[in-house]
Amino acid sequence: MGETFTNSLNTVIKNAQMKDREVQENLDADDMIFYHSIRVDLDLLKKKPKLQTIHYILDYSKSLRS
Amino acid sequence: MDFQLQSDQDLIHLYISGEEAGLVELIRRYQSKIYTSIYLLVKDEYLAEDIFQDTFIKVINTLKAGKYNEEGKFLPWVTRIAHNLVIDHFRREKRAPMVSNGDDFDIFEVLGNYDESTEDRMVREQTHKDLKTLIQLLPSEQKEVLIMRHFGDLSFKEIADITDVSINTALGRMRYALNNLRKMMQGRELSLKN
Repeated sequence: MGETFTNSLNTVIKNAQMKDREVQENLDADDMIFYHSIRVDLDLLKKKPKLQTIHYILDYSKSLRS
Repeated sequence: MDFQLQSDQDLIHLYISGEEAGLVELIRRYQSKIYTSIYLLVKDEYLAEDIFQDTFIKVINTLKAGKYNEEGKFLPWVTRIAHNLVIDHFRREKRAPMVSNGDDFDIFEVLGNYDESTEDRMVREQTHKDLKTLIQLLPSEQKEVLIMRHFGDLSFKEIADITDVSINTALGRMRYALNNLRKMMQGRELSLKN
């Protein structure tokens, strides 16, 4: 009986923790709808660094080769 | 070998073992997310280039020193390095990156000071430009979370760790950011494409 109680208690605790995590990791429905409505526009803001910057980084890396 | 099919962890191992192409692919894969995150925070292309460069130099030094131990978490790790470098920059400059207040910040105070005539020039084709402007009007804490969540693909747990706040605070800041953006868009009658 004790074992059954412990198992049940563990299940309740685990479910509560999962629920907490879901709440913490998810926004409200209204927020999510709005967020999805601006995702495409947010993606349009993406920019890349200059090739010169990438080359500098790669040259630095190669300079460390022994 | 098709590097595009390799996991981040495999690419890191390849790079550490002397295969430069591993680093090339990691940069190709994440350059846009990391650079945009930095750029939106510092609002200066030259400075963003410098911080992006310094970020990857730190990444290289850490990997070469064998000190990387965040299995499968390359992007959050790099984002954290970039974020810390941005913070260091503003500490050095001793200036705030933008309008900054607590989470109870009222966006209408900013809107009230805005030039009304600019609204007329806001057209649909400029939505992304307008959105960028609106994001810059957010308090730094809210902008940070929005950028890390969207461009850095970080979970609220990871954002909370990076910014040293609780998960609920990070989540709350995202809610405030979205609410403020929505209010600003409504206030300026800005419509989106979708």
